[in-house]
Amino acid sequence: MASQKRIQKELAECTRSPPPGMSIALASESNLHKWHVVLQGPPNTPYAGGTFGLVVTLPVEYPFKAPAVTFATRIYHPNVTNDSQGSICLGALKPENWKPASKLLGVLEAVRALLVEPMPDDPLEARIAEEYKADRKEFEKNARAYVARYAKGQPKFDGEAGGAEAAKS
Amino acid sequence: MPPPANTPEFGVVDIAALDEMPPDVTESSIPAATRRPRRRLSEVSGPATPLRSTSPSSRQPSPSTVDSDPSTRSSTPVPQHDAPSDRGNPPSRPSRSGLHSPPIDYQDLEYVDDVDETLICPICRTPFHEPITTKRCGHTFCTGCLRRAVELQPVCPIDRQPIAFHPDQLCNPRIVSHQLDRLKVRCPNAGCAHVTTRGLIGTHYDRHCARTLVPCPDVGCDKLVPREDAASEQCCLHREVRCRYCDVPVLLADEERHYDTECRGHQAKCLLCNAVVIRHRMADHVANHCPESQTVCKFHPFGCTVAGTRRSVEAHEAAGCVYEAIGKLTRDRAEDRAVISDLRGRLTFLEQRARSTTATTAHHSSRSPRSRTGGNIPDLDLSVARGQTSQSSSYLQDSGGGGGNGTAWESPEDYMLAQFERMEAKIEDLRKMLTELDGRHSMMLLNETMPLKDQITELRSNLGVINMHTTWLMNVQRQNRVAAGGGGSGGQGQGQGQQGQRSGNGGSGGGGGGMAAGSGTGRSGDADEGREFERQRVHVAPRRMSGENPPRL
Repeated sequence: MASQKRIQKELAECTRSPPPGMSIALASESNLHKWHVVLQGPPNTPYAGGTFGLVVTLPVEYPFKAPAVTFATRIYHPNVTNDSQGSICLGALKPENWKPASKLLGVLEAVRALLVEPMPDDPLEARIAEEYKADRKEFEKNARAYVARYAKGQPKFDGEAGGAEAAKS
Repeated sequence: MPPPANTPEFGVVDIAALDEMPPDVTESSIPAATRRPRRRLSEVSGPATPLRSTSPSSRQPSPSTVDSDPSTRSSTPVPQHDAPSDRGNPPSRPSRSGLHSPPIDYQDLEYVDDVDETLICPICRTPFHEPITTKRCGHTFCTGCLRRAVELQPVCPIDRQPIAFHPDQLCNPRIVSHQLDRLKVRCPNAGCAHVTTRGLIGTHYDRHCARTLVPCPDVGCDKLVPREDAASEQCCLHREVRCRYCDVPVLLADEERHYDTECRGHQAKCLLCNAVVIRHRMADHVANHCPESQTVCKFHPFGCTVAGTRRSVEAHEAAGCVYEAIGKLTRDRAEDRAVISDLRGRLTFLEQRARSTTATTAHHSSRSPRSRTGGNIPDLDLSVARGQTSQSSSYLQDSGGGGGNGTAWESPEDYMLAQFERMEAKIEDLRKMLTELDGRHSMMLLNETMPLKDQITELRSNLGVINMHTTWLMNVQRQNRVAAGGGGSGGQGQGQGQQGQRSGNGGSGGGGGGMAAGSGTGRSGDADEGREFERQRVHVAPRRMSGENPPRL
């Protein structure tokens, strides 16, 4: 199948030269359509030192339909929902913006760039976006607190990302 | 989908026309010599097996194309060696027109060389299959990929310019097709190692490859069999027969595979040693047992170069290969190495542990006696810690062989304390040496500078004397001149001098010019010069007065 072939090629490309601070693996060897990405928080950001799990889900129609990328680790960010879903607001992934010629490598790089520079003008979490714009210090403090609480150690990909820990503490 | 347009120019896009286009493209790129046999074959006999299509790149199975295109049909015979003409099969079988060899999946072809990035479809990431280019933005895709992309969203998959999948907006990049047709690919059939250009692989697959699946020779059968089997049998291959050798029921089509892999009864003669072995064990026999097959000495990995038939090599081994001892040593060494690396890992672990414990003890012991020295603590801590790192291993050795030489420390704390005292003594020594060195240095510097200072003073006084002399000489000269020139002209000179003084450089320049002009004005010019000197002297005088040594005249 053509799409399988393309996914295989992209996976090979991503594992051979991953974007900085990322490592990519399949969720299970038999399923090419679910990737687990481990992202190290970019240096010089409040997320530095954190280890975030990303789940990339490729639809059956990939590359004609956009992949879905979600955070498995909770993160304090204007463009990521502050819940266990971890949905990301990424322009390139919106159905009307997705292009079949786009590469997953570019998508992953865009996610990383989002951590380096959030886009508070296109937020998913309006409150965090407000805080980011009005009180950067407070935002960074909160983001670091989230990193310390959720993003230490190896990320968990079991869907209930961070939920268990949140319940505990 | 756009309405099917039969404009020849854009025939590519139309499905029916799609099947007509590629032969044209490919034929133009096939060398004439390779094309000729195909025509000849088409004249030979009627088609025995209704192969689907002859177009080198087999299209999607579209019955309408096959039926409606007699020219394509007439050129779809099975080559003569594959389909003997005396088989008496009916030339056409309308009932089985839906039965085809599976089409080549062009996006799954294996390319012999690396394919240029520019020939790769950005959607499926394989070399283009039926490339098509958008007219508006000039981007190229596989026709199938673009069709699917546009079905979902009518924009270019690269730059999102609005497009429709319509012949008016697309064109066929012929040069790209030609480039693609020249790529070398492997035959997609398992068991066929044929390599040819992509433009010709369809011909090979459809008409020559023995491994291509073709409809069963039996008209009533709806299964596919490899061409080589279909050619040798004239009846349906999908009936069960009893194996001649082991009496197991097998499908006729499966017979060869059965002989090769399962049959326990089918025996064959080894071509090398003439021994009779079960056929599917032949490979194993040749590789491991046959006395006539070529092999190498079992100590080959260790350097033995003896090779030949198994019989001779076995004789060599029985006589004793010199590399046997080396082989044994190599094996032993590998074992030793494994043990060493294991031990090394454990040693590193222990060292780390020792280091962490000593670091903590050092921290505790250094804190109490040093706390009163305030600012020095971090520095000292650091140096102490460094000393420990380098000596922690010696500590381990000490404690290891401690029972023997009697210098064992009772506990790491004791050892650290001793170390610490030693370090302290060393630091004290260093401090003393540093003070001494400092004193010596300052003495040396003083000794060097004293004579220099004296010399400078002397030079300065000399300079003063010279200054005084010059002034005196100038004065004498001027007085002489004044005495010779008289009172009137002196006053004039003075006036001019003042003027010169006011205009600075210009004045003195004018004076110089006057001197050059002639003897008449020369005097006033000289007077001017004198004034200038006086001014300088007045200017210089205070500086001289402030000097240490008054001038001596």
